[in-house]
This record gives sequence, structure tokens and C-alpha cells, in this order.
Amino acid sequence: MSHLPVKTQLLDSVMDERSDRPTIEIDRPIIRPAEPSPRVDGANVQKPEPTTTAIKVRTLSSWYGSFQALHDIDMDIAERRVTAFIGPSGCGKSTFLRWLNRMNDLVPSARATGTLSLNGQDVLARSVDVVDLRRRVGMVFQKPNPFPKSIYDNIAFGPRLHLKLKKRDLDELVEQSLRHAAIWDEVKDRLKNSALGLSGGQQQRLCIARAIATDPEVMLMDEPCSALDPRSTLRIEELIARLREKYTIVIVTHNMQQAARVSDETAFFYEGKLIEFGETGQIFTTPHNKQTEDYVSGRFG
Amino acid sequence: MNASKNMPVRSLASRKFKDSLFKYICIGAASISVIVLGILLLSVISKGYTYLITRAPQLDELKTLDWPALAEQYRAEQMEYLEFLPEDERADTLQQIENIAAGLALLTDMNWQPALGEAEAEDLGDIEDIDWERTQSEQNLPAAVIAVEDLDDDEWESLIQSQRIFALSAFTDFISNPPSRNAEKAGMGPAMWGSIWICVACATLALPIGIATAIFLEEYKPTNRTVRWMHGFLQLNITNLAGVPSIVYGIIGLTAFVQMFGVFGAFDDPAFTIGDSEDWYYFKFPLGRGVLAGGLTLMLVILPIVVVSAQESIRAVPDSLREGALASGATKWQMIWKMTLPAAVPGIMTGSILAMSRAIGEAAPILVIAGVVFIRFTPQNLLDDFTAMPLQIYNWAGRPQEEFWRVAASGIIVLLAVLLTFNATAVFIRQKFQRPLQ
Repeated sequence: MSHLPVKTQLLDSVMDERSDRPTIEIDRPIIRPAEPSPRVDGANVQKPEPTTTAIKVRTLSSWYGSFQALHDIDMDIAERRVTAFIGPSGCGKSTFLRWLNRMNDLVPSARATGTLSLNGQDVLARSVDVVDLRRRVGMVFQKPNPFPKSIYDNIAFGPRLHLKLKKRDLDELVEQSLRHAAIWDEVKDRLKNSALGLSGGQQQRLCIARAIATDPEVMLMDEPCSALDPRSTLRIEELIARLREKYTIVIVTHNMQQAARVSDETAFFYEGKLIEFGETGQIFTTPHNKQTEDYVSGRFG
Repeated sequence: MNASKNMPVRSLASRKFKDSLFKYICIGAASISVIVLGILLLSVISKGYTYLITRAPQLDELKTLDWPALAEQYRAEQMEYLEFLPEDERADTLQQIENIAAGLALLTDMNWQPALGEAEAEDLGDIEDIDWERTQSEQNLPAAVIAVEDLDDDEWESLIQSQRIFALSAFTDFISNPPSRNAEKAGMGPAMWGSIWICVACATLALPIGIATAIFLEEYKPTNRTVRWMHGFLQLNITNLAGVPSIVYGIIGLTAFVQMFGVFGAFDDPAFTIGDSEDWYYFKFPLGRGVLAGGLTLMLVILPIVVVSAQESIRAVPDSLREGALASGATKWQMIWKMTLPAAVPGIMTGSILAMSRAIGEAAPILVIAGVVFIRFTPQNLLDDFTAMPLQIYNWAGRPQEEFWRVAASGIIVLLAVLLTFNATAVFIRQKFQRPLQ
């Protein structure tokens, strides 16, 4: 949890019974300003810092009943980087994403083989506690799904499940999360209002704030902008650029410009197979594989 | 594909005609139901209202009564009772009776001002078939006696005012009195309390069980093939049970609850008891024809309705909310308790209201469980004998005297009032849960 100093501090102080009031510096600029420009042509890509692998996938195969959705996927997802999954519909990228926090457990016929380890822990093991796993792996869905509760209760939902917080500390945590998700200024005066009254883009950022609130290590985003207008999409993309400072982000998208803009690394899936995986700039400019080239240049898909 | 010239076209006029025709058919159907409901309420209320009026003492009737004759009648009646009294009390009582009778005789000369207006007197003219004299002799004597003995002018005036709100006092009499062979005295106190007892027992049993069953059926769908088959079988049975006639449940209740299959002996000679039949914690096996057996039987009647409606509303909660809760790290129970149930409560409450409305109006299973009984007291514990409002109304409506038909109509008013109170409470709770959504 060292990658999130401010929130760790908060949570530690909450756990610590002796500290009367947690020392939180809300005004400290915890969020980096937006990335100056999209990185489409690869020249703009930042020098890859030395990265550690957050998620290590080896020979992952997955089935829905007798239909094989994933074929022998090998992949190393780097810590605190944005990894984009692209590919035509039904190619298995969402299936893969939903194995990362075991949401596929909800599908009775789904099963998987291979290994998928998150910071050394085998996610697919029968013994793994999915409740704790899902706290560590936040998820944002395709369609904004704010709970039919107040904005405050939406954010506090996750922390209330896991922690016994005093009201004061919960207030701080809610504010922190909303600030992280760059929606605080818009909602700070109506925290008690229903979250359903927000616009679509605000709802999606609220969902991101909700995912942040449980202090995850990895954040999964399943086509987070597909239901949004271009302006809201831009704001979410800016937000993703900021969040990569602290979280490992995996994003599924149908929008190749978006993948090029927000991601550090890109994986191209086709018919359940991982066709190519590499630096975003390289995938979009000099793909090694013919299928990848056809797809990113818009010749099919 | 564009419609080409030679393709057959549906004429716009005929489509519009069908459109408006259908709209008027719908309006007509709605009007019919409103009219029928109006007629029902009107007939019930007019009959019940006239009955309640006849129960109330009327001033203009007081004015015209033959008071000396009534005084004589009163004296004669009281004298009959006098001989049952101990010797030493007789003299005092006799003196009292004589005083009252003398006072009654004096009422002829009373200045009956202020009297009722003419219009009000006319309203009462329609009611001819009531034995006015008997009514008055039984009901107005106390008032008259007080008037003669104690009242000054102001108090007399206030007495008159209080007589004018006759319907209210007659109504409270009606809902507190026990049933009687005399239509003017009959009330539905025991029946009303019996209904409330069994409905509360039924609700506390049926709603938790029904909602928990619905949660199991909707949220805990098994993956194992055999268990899934049993799950489907259970679902099929519950859906079918919702259509079983309630008399059938009455028979089940008679066997399973009243007699308990005879395992504990005959129901009027229980093998196992706790406490005495007077105690509030009195309990016995078998349950006998008591409140608990009635409540359990009504539970059987409404359980399928509660389960099916709760299932529908749980199913209507979008899966995205469930996924969102689970992805936040909720356990299944946290998801159900904090997400699914709050979102489903309005629907569950609506179903429960319908189910409870059915329970309070059920006569057939109660008839089997309680039988047609003459109960003069409200239930004191869960195993006390009881009767219910629908049974009481059925009893009254079946009598040959027309007075009792009016009593039945008043009973229906009380039944509707209790029903609406139950429903209003449930609607209030539903609104409370819906508020955060707005």
C-alpha cells in the first residue's frame, strides 16, 4: 500500500486508537495537474520508468460452459501504469478483466485455468477471499451505476463495508476520494442529494471515486467512457492520467484513440487470443503483427 | 427499404381510428370500475349510516315520547329485578326507582328548547320500520334521568349538542359492543379485535418468512444441477400455490394447526399446556381453534403471494447495482442487506399490502378454523377463541331481519376502516424507504 501515501496515512491513523484525530493534509496537492497532451504518435510517450509487475498472467484460459473465451494468455501488467485492452467485441478482453477481480464468479458456467497472480497472490486459487480481493481491485463499469443513495452514501458504501470509522474520519475519506476523482468541487454542496441526479459523466466519476474509496491497488475500467459524451470522456481521460500516479489501471476500450491517448501499454485481443502486447506507441505506430496493424489502422473491426 | 408505390399501404385514417377507439375503450373500462366502486361504497355507507343514526338518541323523538307510559314501563321493569337484591338494599333501590320514574313522568312538561330544526327532523322521517319506542326506552332513559335530576339550562344545552354528534358515539358503541340478538345493541368489538389479532400474527409470521424465501429463490441460485432442479421445483410450486382456493388452506390449517394431526390428542383436550387459559402466555399443543391457528392458516394463504411479489421486486433491482456492491468488496449478505433489499422494499411493501388486504378479508379459512361462534370477549392470548370481521358480517347478512342487514353494512364500514388503517401504515413505511431515491 506504499503507493498511496496520503490515504495510507489516513487509514493507519484510523486504525490507531491512540491518535485522537488523524493528521490529514487535505490541501496538499495530491493530484498532479493533467497531462499536457495526448500521446498519439509515440514520440510523446514518457520514458518508461523502471516498473514492477503488479499482475502476472500465465497460460490463462477461460470457458463459459463449453465455449472457450480465452486461450493461453501470458501477460505482465506493470504497476502504476495504464494498460489498455483493445479488440473487436467478443474477443475476450472483458472476460479477462473480470477474472482480475473474480467478477466472473457470478456467472455460474464460467471457469478458468492457468495462473493469475496479483502482487504474488494467486487470484484464481479456490482459497482466495474474493471479498478482500475485490477491495484490493476496484472496478468501474461500462454504464455508470451509482447506487440509489446520496452522493455521500455512495462513496461511503465501500469503506463502511470494511472499516469501522468514526463519522469524522468517514467524512475525510469521502472528501479525499471525491477530490481524487476530481468531482469534489461539483458535488461538495450537495453531498446529501441523490447520486441519480448527477449527469452521466459526473456519475461515472462518482463511480471512480467510489472505487478509490476502498483504497485499491488495481483499478479495472470496463469501457468507462462508452456511454458518455466527448466532453465527459475527456474529463475521465484526464482523471485516468492523474490516477496512474497511484494506481495500476487496466482499461478496456473500443475507442482506439482513447487507448492511444491514455495508456502506457496496449494489448490487442482477437478471438480470445492475445495477439500483441507492448508499448502503446509501438502498437499504434509499428505493430509487429499484421492483424494488429489492420485493426489499429481501421481496416477491420 | 423504402415503401415503393405498388406496396399495399395501411390507411392512416384507419390507424388513427383504431388509435382513438382503443383510447375510448380504455376510458370506458376505467369508468365502469369507478362507477361500480362508487355504487358499492354508496350502498354500504347509506345502509350503515342509517343504521348508526337509528342507534342514536334523537331529540325530536325525545320530545314526542309518551313519558308517563315510559316511566311506568321503567318502574315495572326495575321491580322485577328488585326481588333478586338482598333485603337491606331493597328499600334504597326502591326509593331510587321511584325518584327516576317520577322524574321521567315530569319530562312531558319539559321545555324542549332548543329543539332540532325541521329539516333534520324530516331526514329521520324515512326510517319507519324501527321499533322507536323500544329503542328510546332502552337508550334514552339515562340521559333523561340525568336531565331531570341534575341539569341546569346550560348543561341541558350541551347535552343536546352532544346528542347531535350522535353518529360518533353510536359508532364507538358499535365497534366496542359485543354481538347481540338485538340489532340496536349489536357491535363488532370482539370480531374487530379478533381480526386485528390474527392479522398481526399472520403478518409477523408471513412477511419475514415470505421475504426470506424470495431472497433465497432470487439471490442464492444454485449451480449444482440437482439442486437447481429442486430450486426450480420449489419455484413452480410456490407460483402454483398462489392460485389455490383459500378454503383448501382452511382444511390444511384445521389438520395441521388446530388438531396437529392428532399427535397431541384431541384439540379440546390438549396434551401439553403452559399456564392457564386466563394467562397471557398460555400455550398448548395442539393449538386448537385459537388466534394462533387462525394466523398460521392465513399465513399459508398469503405466503405464496408475498413470495411471488417480493421475488418480482427483487428481480427488478438492476444487476448493475449488485455488481457495483460486490465490486466494492461487499459480501453477498452485505449486498442483499444494503443494496438489493432497500431498492426492493417499495415493491415488497406493495405486495405485502395486497397480501394483508386479502388476509383481513378472508372468511373461508377462518370459517373452517374458528367455526361460526358467538364470542363476546376480545382474545386475551394467542390461543384464545376468536371470531373475525368477515365471519361476523357474514353472520349478520344471513339473518332474516332487515335491521341486521344494516348492521352488516356498518360492519363492512368498520372492516374497510381497519383495512385502510393497515394499508396506510404500510404505505407510510414504503414512502419512508423511497425518500432517498428522490
